[in-house]
Amino acid sequence: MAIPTDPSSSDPKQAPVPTITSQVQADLPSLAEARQLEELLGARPSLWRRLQDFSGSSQMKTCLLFLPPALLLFTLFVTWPVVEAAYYSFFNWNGYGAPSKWIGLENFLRVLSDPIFYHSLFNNLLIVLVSALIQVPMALALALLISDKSRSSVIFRAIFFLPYILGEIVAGLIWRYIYDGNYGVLAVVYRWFGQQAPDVLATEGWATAALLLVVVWKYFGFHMALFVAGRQGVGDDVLEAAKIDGATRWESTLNIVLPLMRPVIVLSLFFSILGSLQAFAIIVALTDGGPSNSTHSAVSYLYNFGIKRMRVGFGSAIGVTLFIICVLVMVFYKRLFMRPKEGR
Amino acid sequence: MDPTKIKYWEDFVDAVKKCQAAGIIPVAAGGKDKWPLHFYTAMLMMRVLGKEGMEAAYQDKNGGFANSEVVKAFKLFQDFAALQPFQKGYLANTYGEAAGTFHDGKTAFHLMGSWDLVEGRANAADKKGLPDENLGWVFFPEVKGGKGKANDLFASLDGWLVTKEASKETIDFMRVWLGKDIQTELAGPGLFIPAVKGTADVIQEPLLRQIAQEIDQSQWIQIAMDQLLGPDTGRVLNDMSADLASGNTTPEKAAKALEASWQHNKS
Repeated sequence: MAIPTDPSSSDPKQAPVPTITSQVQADLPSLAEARQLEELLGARPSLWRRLQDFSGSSQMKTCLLFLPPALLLFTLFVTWPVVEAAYYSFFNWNGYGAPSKWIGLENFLRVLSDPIFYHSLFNNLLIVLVSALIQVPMALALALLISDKSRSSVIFRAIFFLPYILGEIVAGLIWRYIYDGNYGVLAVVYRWFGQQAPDVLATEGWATAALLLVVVWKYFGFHMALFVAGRQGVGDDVLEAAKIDGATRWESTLNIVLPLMRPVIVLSLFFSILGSLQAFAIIVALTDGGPSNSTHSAVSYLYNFGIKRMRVGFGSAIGVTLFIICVLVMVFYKRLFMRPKEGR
Repeated sequence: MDPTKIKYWEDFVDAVKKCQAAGIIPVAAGGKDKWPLHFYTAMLMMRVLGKEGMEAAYQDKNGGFANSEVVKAFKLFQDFAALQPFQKGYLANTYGEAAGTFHDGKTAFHLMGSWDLVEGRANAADKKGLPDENLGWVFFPEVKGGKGKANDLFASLDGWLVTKEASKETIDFMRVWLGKDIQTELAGPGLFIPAVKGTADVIQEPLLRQIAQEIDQSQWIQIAMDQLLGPDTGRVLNDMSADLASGNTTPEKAAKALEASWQHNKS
């Protein structure tokens, strides 16, 4: 292989082609020359090379300073509890003292054979579906309407965002009062029409529907805010060009704005799934698992059946199962939707 | 309808029907919290099985909690709940909300303990509830053919924890502290009902005194079952009580679930 030599170099040892083995070492390029070569060839330096470069740089020092606290916090509060939970899940343990009654996989068998667990996972799925099919389109439509910079739009954006600011417990308690069939707002409205209000939170199917309504009400403001930001990132010039070409408002929305907002929509769905898997406080405040354990989410199920009943081993098994589900969901979601775009 | 004539469970059911006919909501209950409903199932169990029967159940004799008498008790409760005697939407009401309904004068009965006189009243709309003359205790009726007596009590007791390292004098202290003299002094102003015989007459508040006098007569006090059975089985009993009331389970299934959970936990 011919090594292009630097013509300004006066080193007589730089022969174009290594000829005799004993001369190879003397003919090998220096580090700096190798780097030049790599740059010219457009070659990606090896990992080892990159580490070498990095260790000498000033970035290394910054790294050494800032990484340990983050790593420490992460390990202490995320990794370690997961490992501990996996350990506890093999015991029949009430939370006091040290776990001592080893029961192997029995906790996992119990979880996987409990119909209430599957129902709570189903509720989680319902929350995701409602978010994806009702909440996100609604938030998107609203965002497209009020993402301009006029005063009224700003005011409306603030109003729609308000439910998100409420704490989850507060929101749940407020809606408990609204849904109350005897004293609540719902009762007042029904009485106005001369009817008896139904007991929404005391009836199985209705309680779930009521819960979904509260979830949509609370979080659509957040998604709307995301979409407003996304919409404002779509350049006006593209839309003007489309207008000049004769596209209607609807056509330009469908074919220009939405595709350009794809990353934000994907992110919003991601948050929906995440939020659903974490749904806990709002359920506890509204129904505490609801009439006959019908409105549990996975986490409220864990809290009720694991912690409140002092079966920490069982609760840990639920936690580990949930963790595995979460990891699988997120990996698949990332694979499917968040692939980096190649030359689009 | 005269509540003092209620001697048997069947009389109580009749009284409830009379209330309904008169357009009064018979009973207040906090179904969301579930433990108010377990008062019914637990006390019916006590009345049907009696003291020996319950102790045998705890020790797994006669099939433990899955025996036919427990099923009978649960069935009595489920039939009662099928009459719809509770306030509307009771399954979504907490104890506080149900107590408020009762102390606002909206229902005729409220199955509760002595604490309801203080805590329940605080939940009433005017924070004071009904005057004493309008309230009275009807003790949980006997079940015809059941082995439990009317003065078998269902209660929550306060206990005192002592550490392992406590000195021997602690026992002497407890003897004095829980003895008749001090307890009488404390019971006078109605702070609590002492579990000491002979202190009943000191209690001023007439409604509390009624209960204290019952305690003097009683042969057996059963501790609240959702506590006694432990945090797990206790919650299963609560869940089963709520499910029986709402019709989501049968008495047989409920008894089996209770027994299965007790088996798992009693060690």
